[in-house]
Amino acid sequence: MDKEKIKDLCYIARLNISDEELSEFTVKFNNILEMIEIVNELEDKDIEKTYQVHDYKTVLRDDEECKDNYLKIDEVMANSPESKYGYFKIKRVVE
Amino acid sequence: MDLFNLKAHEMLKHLKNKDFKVSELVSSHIERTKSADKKINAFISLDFENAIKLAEELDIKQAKNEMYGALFGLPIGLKDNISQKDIKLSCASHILGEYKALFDAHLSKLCKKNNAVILGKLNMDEFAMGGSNETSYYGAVKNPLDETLVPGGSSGGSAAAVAAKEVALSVGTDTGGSVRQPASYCSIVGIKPTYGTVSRNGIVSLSNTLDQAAPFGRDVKDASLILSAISGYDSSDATSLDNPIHYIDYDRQKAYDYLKGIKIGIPKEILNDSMDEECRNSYIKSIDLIKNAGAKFEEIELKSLKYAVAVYYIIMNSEAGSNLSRFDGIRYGIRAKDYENIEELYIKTRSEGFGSEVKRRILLGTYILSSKGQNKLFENALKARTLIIKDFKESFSKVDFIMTPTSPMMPFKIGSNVKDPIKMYNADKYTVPVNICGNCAVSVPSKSGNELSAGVQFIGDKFKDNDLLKLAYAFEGLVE
Repeated sequence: MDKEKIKDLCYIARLNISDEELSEFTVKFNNILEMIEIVNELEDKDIEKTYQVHDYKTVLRDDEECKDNYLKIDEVMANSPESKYGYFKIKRVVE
Repeated sequence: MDLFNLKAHEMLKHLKNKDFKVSELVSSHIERTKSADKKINAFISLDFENAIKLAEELDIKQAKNEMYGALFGLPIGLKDNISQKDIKLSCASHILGEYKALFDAHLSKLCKKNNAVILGKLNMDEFAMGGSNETSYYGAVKNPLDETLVPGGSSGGSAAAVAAKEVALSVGTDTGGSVRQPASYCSIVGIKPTYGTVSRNGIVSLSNTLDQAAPFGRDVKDASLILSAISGYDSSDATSLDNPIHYIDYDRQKAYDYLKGIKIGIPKEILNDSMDEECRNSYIKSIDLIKNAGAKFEEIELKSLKYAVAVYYIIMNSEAGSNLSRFDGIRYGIRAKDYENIEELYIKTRSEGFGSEVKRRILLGTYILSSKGQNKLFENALKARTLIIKDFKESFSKVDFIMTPTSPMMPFKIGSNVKDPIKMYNADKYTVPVNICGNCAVSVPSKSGNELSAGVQFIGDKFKDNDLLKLAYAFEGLVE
């Protein structure tokens, strides 16, 4: 991975890192990649994949209103950086 | 005698005898925290006012002999990725700003129901990413046994607060060793129960298939006490299951008798590993100690262990990268001041809000899961996960438990390893396989008294938590 590819990755993750950080990051990134690529030994092996450690079944509940499991608008907005009329406020998106 | 010096189970006994009031016990810890935490930095938020108020209410119940709840009157602390209603929740990150939790995590609810007195929220590595508690936005935590050393991480504040006697008990989270390793570094007990034992509802996810809430105590009995209170099925966590943990109310002799009938596996891969001399010596000495007490030992083989650290970092970074996409500056936390459009808002907020370790892991996770990158890494890691689980399953058909050092490293100087992620990652190599498999494991100090020692890790198969605690309780007795 070179610096340009790391920059692309930054955009996908919506992150920005300084040029100084970028150089350090690139080295560390490649070191870590080298370490984790050991699992690619198993590329051609027919082995089942483990997604979860226990055998879970989907748990269904009765289709009823969860009365004590919702939040009021005011409670939610108390944590927002900016809100108005009970909505999250940001700059205009559509011109 | 200062009350904070007592173990939690001793405090309970004294409270029952009315030797002192809950408010006296809580004040003792508050005073202790006020003086000790200036240096240790174990807390991010304090809630003394409510703690004192609750303690006074509990005083009345105590006087009327209405002491309900396993944690009645005990001063505790919660890692700052566990929601406690109306209290600031930061995950030790700048991005959450002054966010206040809107509800109690299931385990916070259980602590309150059991009448614990929560003193505050404890420091950690940012979003639980780190093994030394140096990545916190709120500053590094210091090891109470030697303030120049790290306390371990990511639950460093939770471990340090118990070791410094600021709280009687605490809860952290263990995704790859984040409770067992700091327990080892601070010479206390930390147990990671079987995956699903404690509900993850209300805990900020790092890696959903690996995360498990896990408690700290100054001894095995204390750790079993708080774990018994917070374990149990919760319908609001789809991965939760019913695995009740019992408080150790039996005497040591019963644990010693149990020891005589069990067989413990020693992975031969570990015997040949490079590690700190102190860790190796303590490990070998501990094996002898248990052998002399009558347990049998057998060398076992865990061939797939070589994949463990890689599997851990692939799964954890991928799940973390995905989880952390919710921090966008729109709905909660901080928001960058100057932005022209929505995209700039996301980028600036996330760049200002996350520290470099978090950014590194998000990028790694993004790479692993991107089509441009090799998403075969993720698929192959899931295959390796199967192999590791199979290795452990096979071992547990021959032995009852597996014993390893908790960490190949002793606690290091603050600032000395931060620049070398590979070294930090390898420090987790004995703890991560447990999370990969969903097994249970406990770290117990290899020396008695309040001094630095290398922790010993005992690993049990899924759902063997209570037997594991019995073994740990016996070992602790032998060390004493």
